[in-house]
Formats: sequence, C-alpha cells, structure tokens
Amino acid sequence: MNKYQRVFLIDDDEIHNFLCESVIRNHQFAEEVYSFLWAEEALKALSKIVEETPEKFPEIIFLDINMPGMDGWEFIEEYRKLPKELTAKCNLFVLSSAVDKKDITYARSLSEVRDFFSKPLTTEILEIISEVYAQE
Amino acid sequence: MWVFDTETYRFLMVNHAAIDLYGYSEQEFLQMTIKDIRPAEQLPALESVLAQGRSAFNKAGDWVHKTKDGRLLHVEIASHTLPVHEGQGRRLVVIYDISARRQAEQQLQAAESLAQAILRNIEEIVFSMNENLEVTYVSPQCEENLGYRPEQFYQNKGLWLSLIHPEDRHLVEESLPLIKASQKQFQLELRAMTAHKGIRWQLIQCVATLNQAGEFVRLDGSIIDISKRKKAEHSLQFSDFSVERAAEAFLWTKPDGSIMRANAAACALLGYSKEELLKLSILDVDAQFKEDVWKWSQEDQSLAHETVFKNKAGRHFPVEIHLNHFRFDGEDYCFASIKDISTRKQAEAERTSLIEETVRQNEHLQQFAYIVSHNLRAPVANIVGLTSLYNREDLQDPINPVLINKLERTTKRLDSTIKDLNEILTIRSQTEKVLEPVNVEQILLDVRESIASQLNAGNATFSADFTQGNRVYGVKGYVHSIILNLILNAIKYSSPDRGLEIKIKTVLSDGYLCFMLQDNGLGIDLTRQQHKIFGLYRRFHPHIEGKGLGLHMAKTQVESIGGWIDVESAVNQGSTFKVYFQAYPRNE
Repeated sequence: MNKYQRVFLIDDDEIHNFLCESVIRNHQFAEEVYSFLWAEEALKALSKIVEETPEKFPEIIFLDINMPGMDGWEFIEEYRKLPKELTAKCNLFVLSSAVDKKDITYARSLSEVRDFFSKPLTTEILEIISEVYAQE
Repeated sequence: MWVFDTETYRFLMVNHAAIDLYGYSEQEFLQMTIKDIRPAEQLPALESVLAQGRSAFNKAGDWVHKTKDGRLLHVEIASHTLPVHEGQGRRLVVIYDISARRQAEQQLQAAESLAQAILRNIEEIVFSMNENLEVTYVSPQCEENLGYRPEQFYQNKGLWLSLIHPEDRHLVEESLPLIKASQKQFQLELRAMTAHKGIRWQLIQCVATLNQAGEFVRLDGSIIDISKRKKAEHSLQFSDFSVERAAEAFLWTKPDGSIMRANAAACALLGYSKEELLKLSILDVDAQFKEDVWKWSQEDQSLAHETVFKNKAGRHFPVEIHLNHFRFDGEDYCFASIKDISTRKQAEAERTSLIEETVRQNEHLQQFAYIVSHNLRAPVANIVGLTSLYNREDLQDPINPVLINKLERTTKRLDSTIKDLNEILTIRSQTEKVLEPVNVEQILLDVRESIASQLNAGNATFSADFTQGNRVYGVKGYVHSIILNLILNAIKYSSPDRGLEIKIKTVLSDGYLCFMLQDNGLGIDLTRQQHKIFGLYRRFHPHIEGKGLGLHMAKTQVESIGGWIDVESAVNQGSTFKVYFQAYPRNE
C-alpha cells in the first residue's frame, strides 16, 4: 500500500476520528494524521501551512459534511481559494454518514472533491485510494 | 198665418208673425201668390196638392218655404177653408216654423251615426241592461269577442251570466249590490267562457243609473278582452316571483350607482330592508368599490369579479359578482347577481393552510430522513468501524478496552438520539393541543430553581421584567422545557471572559406575548448560521458538549402551541431569543 506523508481528518465526531486514525495507522497509510473537530480550525491550519510550510500541505483530506459551525460545503468553498498549485496535489474526499443521494451527487459534481465515501472508513477505502488515485 | 185666394193663390191677408218670419212687408205679400214663397223644386208638389180637392181642415205636413232673403224654412202647415166671401174662395193657413227642430233632429241623426261608427270600430263591447239586468243593448263586437250575436243576448236573458267563469261568478254576485246602489263606475276583471275562443280574461267597466227615488233603473258598460295583458302580467309576475324567491342576491343599479331594485335575497345578504336598500348606492355596500367595474361597459356583456361587501352591521364578507350592463327604454342599467363566497374563501384558506401544513410535514419528513441518514447512521458507522478494529486474536491488546469504551459511548449516543427523535415526533404528532393559561414568570422561577447549582457555578445574574404580562396560552410542560433550554443554552455558550448576565422581558404585541431572553455570551454569526440555528443536531461552538437538540426542541414545542421563535445575535456580544406565545385563547 502506498504511503502518504500527511492526512487531515475533518469531522466533528470524535469517535469517528479515532476510528480513522486507528485504521490509517494499522495499515501504515500515512506518516502523520491530523484530526480536526471543526472545519474552521482545519482551514486555519491549512492557511498557516500555505504561508509557512507549503511543502507540508496534506496529500489526503477526509472531510465530513454535517458539522456544527462551518460545514463541509462551506469548507470546500474556502479550500477553493487556497493556492491551486498546492490543492492540485491534494486529494480531497468527502467521508460522510449521509445516505442522501442528493449529497452524494452534489459532492461528486465538485471538481475539488475526488470522491465520496460512506462512513466508516475501511481498509477497502484506503486500498481504492492508494490504487486508483495515487496513479494520477 | 195667412189667408189666400183659392182661385188665384194670391195672399189676401198676412199677420205680423208671417211678416217677421218671411221678411216681406204686408204690401209685398199682398202682391204675391203662395207659389212665390216656395223654392222652385217644391212647385210641382204644391201644384199636385192644390189640384186635389181638399177637406175643410187639412194638416198639410212638413214643407220647405223660402224667405225674402233666400233662406229655407222648414215649416209645418195646417189649413182650413174659410166661408166664401163675395164669391171669393179663401183658405186660412197656419204655419209653424220647425227649422230649429229639424236642425236638431239632423244633428241627432249625425251624432247617432257617428256613435254607431265608433261603436263598430272600438274593441270594447258596449252594453246596456234594464232594471231587471236584462240586456237591452249590446254592440256587435260581442260576436267577435264572445262568439254570440246581439240577438242571442236579447232572446236569452240569462246568457250573459252563464258566460261568466264559475270561479269568478262570486265576484259578480258580490259586486252587483254595490253597483246597483251607486252611480259610481265599477271595474271587474273576470274570465268569460266564449263560444269560440275558450276562456278569456275580460275587463268590465259599468255604471248604474238610478232614478230620483234612488232606485236602480239601468246599467251601462263596456267589456274588453284583456287576456293578452293578463298573460303579460302573469309572465311578469312569474318573473318577479322567481327573482324574489331566488337564493342568489340580485341588485339593479342606475349609472350613478344608486340601487333601484333588490330582491329578497339581496336584502337578507346585506341585512337591510328593501326600503333602506333602495336609498343606498352601490358605494355603500361595496367596501372595495372599483369604478371601472361598475361603470357602463359593453352592453350584454357579463363581467365577473370578486369584491368585499359590507352589510348593515358593518361586517365585511367576500362576494362574487356577475355584472350585466343593459339598456332599457333608453336608460342604462346594471344588473348584478351576487354570491356570498365566504364559505368558498374559507375553504380556499383551509386548503392553503392544509397545503402549508403538508409542506411543513414534508419538510419534517425530509429532515427526519436526513436525521436517519446522518444522526442514526453516524453512530452505527462508528460501531461497525470500532468492532472491525477489535483485536480478537489478542484479547489483551491494550486497544481493546479503549474500543469497548468508545463502543459504549457510541451506543449511548445512539440510544439518546433515538429517544430525542421519539420525543420530537411525539410533540409533532399531537397537532391539536388544548392550550391552558401558563404563568411564564412562575415557570421561570421553577426553571431557575431546578438548575440552581449550574447557575450558581456560572455566577449568573438575572433580571426579569414582566410588566407587560406573564400569562400565555400553551402547554405548561412545553413552556417549561422552552425556557429551560434557552437558559441552558445561555449557560453553555456564555463567554469565559465575563460573568453571565441574563435579561428577561415580556412584550405584548398583536395577540402574542413575546418572551425575550438576552444573554451576554459568545453569540453566533447569524449571517452564516441563521438557517441552521434551530435545525436538528446543530452545534455552533467548538469544544462545547451538546447534542444540538435544545433549540430545535424549543422551536418544535413553541410551534406546536401556535407560536414561533426568533433570534438576534452578534459574535462576542450575546444573543437575544424571542419566543412568541399566544397571549389569548384562540376563539374557535
């Protein structure tokens, strides 16, 4: 399995973040995993990276949609404003518990979103990511 | 008077009366013969009379004489022989001037023939009856109108009575004593059974003649066939009757808007008597009068529109009007058929409200689907994930107790979510709630007491102003829950930099008592969060525990008792929640 340097988890569900970290660690999917309970904080962290250490921009972002405060859609709007040369190398995946077709269709229609996955994050999802999206 | 010679016919003597009548002097007369006072055409007749031997006394009858100035005289002549005197035969002639009588007779004749001509040409039958009510005269029209000839009436004395319709005979029987007792004109309308045209309506006008003793001596009158008029009257009555009995209200107006006619339904609809209504204008009853609708438009064109009418009591109600403008006898009129559409409007309003309710229910269903999608599935997804991480090979793996701990938390969350959903669904499913008076001031005290320890820990200060009222109509449990949630919310989102201040105030406005709760907490950026704040499972601040249920619950509860909730907020300044409760019981 391909190994990534940096993964961001953005989800208000603490347990789910724990779950994701465990799965990622077990499969040695990434060196570093950063969890954010609030999209605002994740955005702040990304902005800081852009300014200070652009080389540390995450390669993978797992984004939840339904969150208090800034939700997933709003985060994507802000993410879009970040430097293209950095976001182009980053794979943003929507990872949501939603089973609403509308959300899934909308997520897949956004150019910033590589794919939509349903929770929970599983080994299969990580394999798909490393096999399919790493080729690009 | 004169005397003439029977041989020579010369006048022998004339008196003054003759001189005055004929205009000749005595000398002139005595030079003339009796032939000289005749018009030429009468001479042969005179000669033949004179040639006959005549009796001693002779009434010669009517003759025409000529005066000196050529005027013709109608005279009646009587003559008789006088004794022979000195061998001379003499005859005395007495003349009566009858010109005046003749003229009168001629005039009478002319009048008579004129009267006959009139009688022949008028439609009416003219009749006369004697004191025994026997027909003494009836004009020939009786044949055309009744189918009987005048002779038949003269011969059959009872014929006229037998022609009267049995149902109308009582009219005659009742009127006759009155007619016979006065000389006034009477009118009777009754049906006659004609010989050739069936039953026909007749108008009889008659007047009795009484003698000096006041006794009835004769009856004169006329009869005219009024069947046509009766039929027209009847059809008019029929129309009037239908219009009066119609369930729809009808009004007729003149171009100036004045009401000139109204049927019973219109009076009932507007609450006015007919007399009152006829003094009003359409402006008095149409509360939303539009001139272009009522003013003369196109003849024979029906115009339908909806407006609001005002009855006598001042009550407004919606109506649908069909207007027809028409011209009759050179005048413009407007005929309006009016229908009260309160019921329809109410049904429409009910339908609209039903649609709104359906839309609301649908939104709830969508939200519920979303909750199922997210809030129920999220913990389930976690459970699936956590169990997959569980190390079954090495039960001593230190990760296992951590997973079990998290599994427990997740299942508890799932359970609590299901309970919350159940509670919300219960509130929503009870659509008809009996509202009771609730004292919000008392509820506030109860709430503060129930969470006294939390309030004390946060050093919260309270101020409350209930001068505008403390009574609302609602469900006590809901009001309690709403106030509790708002205060818990204020505590939860209080600023760490300053002590919590809660200001409560009620404002009475438009049938609602607004319960205002202002805090000085963190506040919310409403430009971004407005649509989410009362949504299910929404949280707005990092690092603060909460299911995001409180405000949604408050919203659901206040809406279920006929109110609503609103919020104003500014980041780092605080929030003001406004809960509108019904201030009065709904009168239904």
